[in-house]
Amino acid sequence: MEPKVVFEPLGELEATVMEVAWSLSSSTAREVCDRLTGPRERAYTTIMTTMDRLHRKGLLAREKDGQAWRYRPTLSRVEFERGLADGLADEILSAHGATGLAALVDAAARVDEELLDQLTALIERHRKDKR
Amino acid sequence: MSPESTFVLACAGLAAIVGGVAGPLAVRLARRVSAPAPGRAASTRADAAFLSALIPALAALGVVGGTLMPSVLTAAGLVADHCDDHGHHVHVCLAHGATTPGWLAALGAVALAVYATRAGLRLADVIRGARATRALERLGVRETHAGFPATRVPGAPRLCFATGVFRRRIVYSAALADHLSASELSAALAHEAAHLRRRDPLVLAILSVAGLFAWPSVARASRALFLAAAEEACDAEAAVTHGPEAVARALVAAARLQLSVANGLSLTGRTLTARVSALVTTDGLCVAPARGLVHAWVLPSALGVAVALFGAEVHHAVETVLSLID
Repeated sequence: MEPKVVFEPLGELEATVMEVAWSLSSSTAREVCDRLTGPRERAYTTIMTTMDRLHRKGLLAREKDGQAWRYRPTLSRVEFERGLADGLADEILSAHGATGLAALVDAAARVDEELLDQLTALIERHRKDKR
Repeated sequence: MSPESTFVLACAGLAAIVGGVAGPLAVRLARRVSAPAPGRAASTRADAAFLSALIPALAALGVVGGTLMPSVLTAAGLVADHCDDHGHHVHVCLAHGATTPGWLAALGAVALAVYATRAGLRLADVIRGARATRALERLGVRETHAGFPATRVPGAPRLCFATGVFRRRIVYSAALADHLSASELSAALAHEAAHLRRRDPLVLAILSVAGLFAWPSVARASRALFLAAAEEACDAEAAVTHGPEAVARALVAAARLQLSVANGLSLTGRTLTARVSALVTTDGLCVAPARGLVHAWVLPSALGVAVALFGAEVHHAVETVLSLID
């Protein structure tokens, strides 16, 4: 069974590896390692460990390809960033629960559809009255 | 236990008593001064709520400061030791702290533990929130709105907020931008820019620290009263440039978007109703500059002068009251 996706900010090397994984769509640790040249160059074992960690975070699925693992991203970059943003947003709202947040609409408050319809009607009435 | 330890515990106990008593009174005052009234700008009401919320902390620090003053002056060699004069009642003194009542020291120990725990938890929340905000901003697109940096972040439908005590900025979600019309989005961002101009994130940080001296429920109520008035103040400011209807529509649209991701949980939308009503039914919205922070500097300064001038009187009054209780 594939691990559940963990939406948390990626470390520098994790982000670099994911960049390559997204660009290749399917890759082994060796292929990723070969892509990382110059200042981004890392030891093969480091890349292998990082890809294993990304697999455990649910971001890379893998299957055997001879002696090696072949990895593919489980989410597109956009899907990952959206999921990460949603998680971070929840964290921000829960962290600021005690300290308050200057937000447009109180995130803790819930309103119902009926009230929103009433308020929309109120705004509309006001607009017509002004004419 | 050393006299110094007993003295510190007594001061913490005093702060707990004064903050605990002043808190509910401050909330009552805040309710009164932050209530909507004809001709009174929401900004002025927010300032009044903010200053009221500082009362428990200022009262606690004032009383502790006054009580501390003679001991500190004596320790510094600036005044003669007056301790021989009050063998007749409780004695709160740095040099002779052992004469402090045991119950006050015990209360002080509990208060110190509570202060430290609450401060630690709050600090952890602030660090967690700041870290998450920075991570979120890294995912977004940088823009500028109303003179402030803004980041449009992916997903996160509920987000549109002003943040930063030093580096003031706006964070809002692409989902909100997609959901609101151009004029509504512009009004929403003008609302957030108004928060930044008023320096509300700094005010909230100050309230967070001041709230440590009051009961948690009191601190929450004070903060809520300030925020309710501050939101209306920012609505009014945004309405000046974008029109009240655009701001009201933006509020309803943002709430509707929030509703769509919150599984329709019901809770009163009293604040939202009040804000929309204030925008569309009030003739001529009242706008005033925020002065709460300016006054917040004056208040502690005045308190410092008062403590310096009347420290001895406060010190003796505290000892007399403690003797009566003891």
